[in-house]
Amino acid sequence: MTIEQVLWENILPRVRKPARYLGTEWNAVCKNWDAVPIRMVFAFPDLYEVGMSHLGLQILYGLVNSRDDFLMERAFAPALDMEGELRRAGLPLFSLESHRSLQDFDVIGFTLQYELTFTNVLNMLDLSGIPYRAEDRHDHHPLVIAGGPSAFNPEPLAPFIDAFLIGEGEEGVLEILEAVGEVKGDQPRASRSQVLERLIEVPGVYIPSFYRKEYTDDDKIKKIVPLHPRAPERVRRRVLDKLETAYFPTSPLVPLAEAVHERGMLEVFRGCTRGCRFCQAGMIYRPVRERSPEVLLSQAGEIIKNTGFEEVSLVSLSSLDYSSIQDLIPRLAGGCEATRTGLSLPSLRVDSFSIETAKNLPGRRTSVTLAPEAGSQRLRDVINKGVTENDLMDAVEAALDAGWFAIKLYFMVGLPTETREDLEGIADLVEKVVKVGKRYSRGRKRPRVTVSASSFVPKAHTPFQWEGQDKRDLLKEKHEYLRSLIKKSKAEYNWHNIETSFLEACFARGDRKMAAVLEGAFLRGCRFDGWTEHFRFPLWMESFQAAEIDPDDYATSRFTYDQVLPWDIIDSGVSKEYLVREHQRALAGETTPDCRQVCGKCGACASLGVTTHLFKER
Amino acid sequence: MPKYRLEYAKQDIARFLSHRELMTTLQRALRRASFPLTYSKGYNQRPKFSFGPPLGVGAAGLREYMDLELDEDIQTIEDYLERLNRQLLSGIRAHRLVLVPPGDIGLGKLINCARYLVELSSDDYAADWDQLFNDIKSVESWYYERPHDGKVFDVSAAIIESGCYHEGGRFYLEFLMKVGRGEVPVRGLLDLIIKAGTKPLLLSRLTRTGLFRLEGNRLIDPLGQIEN
Ligand code: SF4
Repeated sequence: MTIEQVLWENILPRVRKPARYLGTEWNAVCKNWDAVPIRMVFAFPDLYEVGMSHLGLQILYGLVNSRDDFLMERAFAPALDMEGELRRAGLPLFSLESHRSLQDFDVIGFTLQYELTFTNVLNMLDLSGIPYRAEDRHDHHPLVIAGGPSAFNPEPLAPFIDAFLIGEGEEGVLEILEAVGEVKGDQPRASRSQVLERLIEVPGVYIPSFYRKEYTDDDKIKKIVPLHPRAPERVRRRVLDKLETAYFPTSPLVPLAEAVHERGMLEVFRGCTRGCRFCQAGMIYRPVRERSPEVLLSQAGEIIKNTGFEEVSLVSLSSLDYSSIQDLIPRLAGGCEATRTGLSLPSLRVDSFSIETAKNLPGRRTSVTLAPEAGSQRLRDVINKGVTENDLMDAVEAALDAGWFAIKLYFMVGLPTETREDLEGIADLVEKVVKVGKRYSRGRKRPRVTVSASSFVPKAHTPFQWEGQDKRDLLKEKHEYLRSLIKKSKAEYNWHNIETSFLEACFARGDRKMAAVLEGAFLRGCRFDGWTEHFRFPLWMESFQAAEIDPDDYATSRFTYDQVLPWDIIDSGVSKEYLVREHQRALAGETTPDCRQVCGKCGACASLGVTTHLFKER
Repeated sequence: MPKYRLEYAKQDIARFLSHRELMTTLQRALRRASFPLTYSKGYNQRPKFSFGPPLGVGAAGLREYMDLELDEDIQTIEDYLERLNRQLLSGIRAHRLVLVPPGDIGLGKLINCARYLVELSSDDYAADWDQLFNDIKSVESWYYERPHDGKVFDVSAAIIESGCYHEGGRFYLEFLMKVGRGEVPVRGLLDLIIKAGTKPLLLSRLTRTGLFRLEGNRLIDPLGQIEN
């Protein structure tokens, strides 16, 4: 029997949500396997529902499949019931389009969106019958590559991945596939070692096996030493020069099983230069590059026509910062109304302009989400979140005026320099919001105010990369204190699992030694660690112990400026001097303006050879 | 606004779609095919659809129904059907589209029975087929307890008619079952067959071959045609 027969007859009838595994989505591309020389599978190490909401997948899928000589299929992390069925039946993990084993592909490309998907990466390789350690694979195994934001600290995954592609993938992926094609020729499989030799020449590619780390006596990294004569000292991230002319998928895949987000996505610009100091995305996608309203309008029309999606969404990091927003929104809303399509803005700025803009959009209204992140002006200045209490209160009133009845507020706990007063500041703010809300009560019903608090995770390539995370006990104390304060104002309080954030910090700042911990956790059965219902922290602690690693060395310890950091091999374009400067400004409580107005000299534009590209000068 | 009734099939690989997934799929296909759908008013505008009784994940349906309101009459029904079929995923097929006459009581009230076919192979049942059929028929009452809420249903009372036939080494059991009043979960029907001696059966063995209104002893489909 073929994989398909076993699936249809024995497996799909037994698993939950079998629609995840059919592969017959509208706009799925199923090419004639034998007619295409180079084949890649995009491997998303999380559930279908999450992966199908991801713009990067849609972009690369459309782009690679637009080439006659390449094909790209998809594979997602199978849910636990599916994994059980596959292992019982002795079947490999398969791609959705042609239901072939991942082993049959020339290239397996993982996207790393979140550190807590790493055990799934190992599991997906293992389920495909591919040794997850690169050194155990032989020369004709598929090439295993990875990219995405978590690849900016690639070290914890270094022993498992043949090559990382750092930065925006559009050009790099095609160059990698071309290299594979050249090496492969008309053989059944390209030699992995020869491909890696070729990939040294591809900018943005980091090949971990070509580097070694030297450690000091106290176990800190002394030096990162290239082992290959042609391996670059540092790997500079890839960046697209102009978004305007770049490929964008206007016939994206339409999910079959309900995805986290079911909507057409419009990328109005890439990059965000507001400069929030905790935010990795704000550093690693610099500078801002916009698309013109004309291109966006035409893409929106095409997407609606080609998908039938009920909603289109502007998914950039802070879409309302788009320079031509006043021009774009009414035109876009008009087109959406005519086709009975909703238009949504998932990330609102904390100001009344955002609300005024959002209130006139066609479509569903759920709640307004605002993220002041910190409770006092002092701490908001430290993190460079340019939001004042007035901004927040204006936004809240505008939202309530406009008829919204549910407000979600996002805060971060454990930020550098945080004191008790800052936590009390959060509670004060919440109380003020609740108070304003009371004025808008409908009968006895009051607007719902929900507070979500996450714990600060220091991320590589940000001004806070040297800072440690608070110890777990302290974080717990802080969250509990905050909850007790907020309880008084009758708002709902949710907080993120502290252990999850702790583990995220370990990986975000860890080096190659974390790989042993990861492997141990995988072998102990850890999967889907980002999902509370699957997260098994005790197994992780066992794995740390077995690997003789103190997790606090990574998560909570501070690094010094002159220390070699595990991710120093990666050059994000933003200079270390800038990050140091920003860190010091943070500690001094000084803010830095958005570089759309004044260049903050972060180094990205010059080193990457790109410039900020706006459609309307302010 | 004129209301149209669509007859469609959900089979092959599409049998693995849930009712909700199928509804979304049809909605998007109708949007892509530019049907002049009528939407509800308010912030959360939705097309005005109503569906026949849902079919479980794994079960196929050969003649399923949905009603849709349109902003205007469509003259070229065949054109629209073809347009829709070009937008449908593999396994889903639109067969007929008919203007619903005024005074129609709606799919929910109209349909009162469904015909199911259960396919068996010799792997499922090693002994004599006719014996199996007789065993099933002779069960006077068979109670099925729904796992999630413990509610108990009398499956035998929901069977209006049953039959069986062989074809190409396969054995088919056919049941006409009540829908609406007296309806039981189809899992209960599979349970009954398992009790009679087969191996465990999955929902994927089940095909709903038609939905009807039983009036006297006549079966009428939701498009008004009388079944033989
Ligand atoms: S170099 Fe200047 S303009 Fe370019 S991203 Fe950095 S701060 Fe912004």
